[in-house]
Amino acid sequence: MTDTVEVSYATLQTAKSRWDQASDELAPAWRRLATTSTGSLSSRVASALEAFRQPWVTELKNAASEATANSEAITIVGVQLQTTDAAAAQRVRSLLPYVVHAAPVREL
Amino acid sequence: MGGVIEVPAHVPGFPALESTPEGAETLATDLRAVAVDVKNAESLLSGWAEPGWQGQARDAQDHALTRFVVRLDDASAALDVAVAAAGRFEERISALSLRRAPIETERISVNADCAELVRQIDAATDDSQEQTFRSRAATLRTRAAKVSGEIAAWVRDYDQAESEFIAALERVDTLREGRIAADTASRPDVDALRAQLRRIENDPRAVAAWWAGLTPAQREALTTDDPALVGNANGIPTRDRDEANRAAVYADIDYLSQRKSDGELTEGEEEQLTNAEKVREQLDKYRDLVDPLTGHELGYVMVYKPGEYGGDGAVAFAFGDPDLADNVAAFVPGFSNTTSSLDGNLNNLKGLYDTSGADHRGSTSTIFWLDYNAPDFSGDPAGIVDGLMVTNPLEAMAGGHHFADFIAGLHATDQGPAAHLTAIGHSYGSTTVGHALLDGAQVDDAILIGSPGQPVANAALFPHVGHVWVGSMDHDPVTLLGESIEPRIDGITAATDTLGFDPAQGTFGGTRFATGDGTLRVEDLLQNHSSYFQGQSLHNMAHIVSGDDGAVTTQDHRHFGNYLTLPELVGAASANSGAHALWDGAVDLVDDVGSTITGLTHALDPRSWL
Repeated sequence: MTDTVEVSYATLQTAKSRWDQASDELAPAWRRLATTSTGSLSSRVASALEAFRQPWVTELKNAASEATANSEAITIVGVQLQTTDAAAAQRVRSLLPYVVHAAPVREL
Repeated sequence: MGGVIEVPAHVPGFPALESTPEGAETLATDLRAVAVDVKNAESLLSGWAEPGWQGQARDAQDHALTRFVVRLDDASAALDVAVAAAGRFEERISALSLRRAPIETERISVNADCAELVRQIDAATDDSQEQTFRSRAATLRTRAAKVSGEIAAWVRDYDQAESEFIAALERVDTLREGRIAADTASRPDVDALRAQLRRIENDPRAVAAWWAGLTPAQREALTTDDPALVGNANGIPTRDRDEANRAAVYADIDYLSQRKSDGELTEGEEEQLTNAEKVREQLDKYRDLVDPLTGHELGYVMVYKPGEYGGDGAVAFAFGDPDLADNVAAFVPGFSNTTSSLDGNLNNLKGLYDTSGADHRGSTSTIFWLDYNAPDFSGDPAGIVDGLMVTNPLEAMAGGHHFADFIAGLHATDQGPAAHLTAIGHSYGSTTVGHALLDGAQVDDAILIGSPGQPVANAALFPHVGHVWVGSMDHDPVTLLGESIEPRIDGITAATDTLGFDPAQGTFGGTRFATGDGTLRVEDLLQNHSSYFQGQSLHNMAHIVSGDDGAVTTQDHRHFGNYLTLPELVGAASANSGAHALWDGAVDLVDDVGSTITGLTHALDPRSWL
């Protein structure tokens, strides 16, 4: 069984591209934050920095992975977004612009 | 001795900076770059989110994209707090580093003087010097107390700088605290700030006044939200432009390198990545040099536009902070210069910085400025058209307008007594400087080197320049391209499509400083054109930049008959070289020169001429 979300092809393309670009911004962001040198900082500043960056590196890393997954989830077949079932279609629909958040989901 | 003479005790040493200015600056730059990356991602998606997402509308909870944007906003808010704190920390550590050196020098001096006094007292055999010893001891007690107080204050300030930075990081070191920071009413409204700056960005003095009225948190938030706007706005202080541009350089490299590794880089993005990497190379190259005025790195990125001018990019790089320096020189390069040619140009500007500084007439800043479309040949049709613009003043006119704006920005951000400001243009860049001067750029001195022509026949027509200096080697063929101001009696018709008038002629009204003539050999003619940042010419430019006009050596202006015309130069140089093959080329050149400069550029490869 296959379900589709009725939105324009251009919207789908742009959404996929933006999720992809967001991933490309976030992936190096967490890496840079994780690898910022503490070698020329005092030990107490270094440990405060460590405590600061630990949760945010994790958060940005997760966000980068999620953005990649979201881009990959928008699988366009022909000029349609096709998903495995209605639940998947609704999930992917929520990755598209809010203005199409109520776009009809139809079974093929 | 009649009593005890109190010589102060040894003043103990105090700790070196455990957190260094370099470490603090690297951290601040990295945090800014991370913030730029995150805000870019947020910006890509936020316009598509549920309209009330910032207010946590219930609808948004069902919309994954909106929830994602909210998450990124929390991270942005946390990073804003960290970046503002890191910026403040960096400033304080750099200031503490500058403060430490004279205190340490005085401490060592006091201790040495005390030891010497004790030695002399111990060696005294009578009371004849007792009053002198007492007086010296009293002076030393005062000095010791003062330096001890300064050390205590320094240690306290250092401790406070670290404690405040640590406290700021601790305020946002959980995801929940990031959410709180995002919801804080006092969070800077970057959209409003951006709109305010956009309204006044063409008025550097208004920009400077507006920027000075912002809080540090507002400045940092706008910097990481829109580094291109902040980093390139004339009127924003150099230090802040540099912070914005560095963040943009590293964020661009982060993002574009990721796209490259994903195989998604477009041709335009590839050029931008190359340009960003060229700027980073220079930052790395000069990283260990410290600006004696600020304690920061010596290099400042004042303009960074990696995608500008068909991929050539725009960049300005200063040695020394021009806002604080006593003597400031801004240099405009000419034909064939792009961001890729930064290395050689910065070598020249660093040489000028060092040589001018050696005059010991105040502090110096030298700036490389390339924010115009310097004609540049490349293999594609557009590149060929671009290169042929070397015969046309249009790019110089447009560039001159930009450069005049940049100079106005330097005036707006200048601190303390007005800096002595010099504009320097080389080759086509000298024509660009001429147009900037004609546009009203206000400088104390202008130096035109290797100039193919100026837009006016007399320097007095430049409205706001104190003194115009001209460096033209007689054996630099490019300097012979300018239209003669003096009546021609040699039968050659003055060119009509030149870049302007030859400033080396006496009637132009400039002072021709000594450069030497260069070598009279065909194979060296091009080298002559690129030799102004060497030897006598460099030293004279350095004297002009430092305001030491009396030390500048001069040479005679050009008058008909006292120099070789272009056809004569090429002929004589070819004869000297004994190169018959070259002579054939020279004959072609002589044939062409009577018509247009376009003919000249075809006769010889112009890439290394202008």
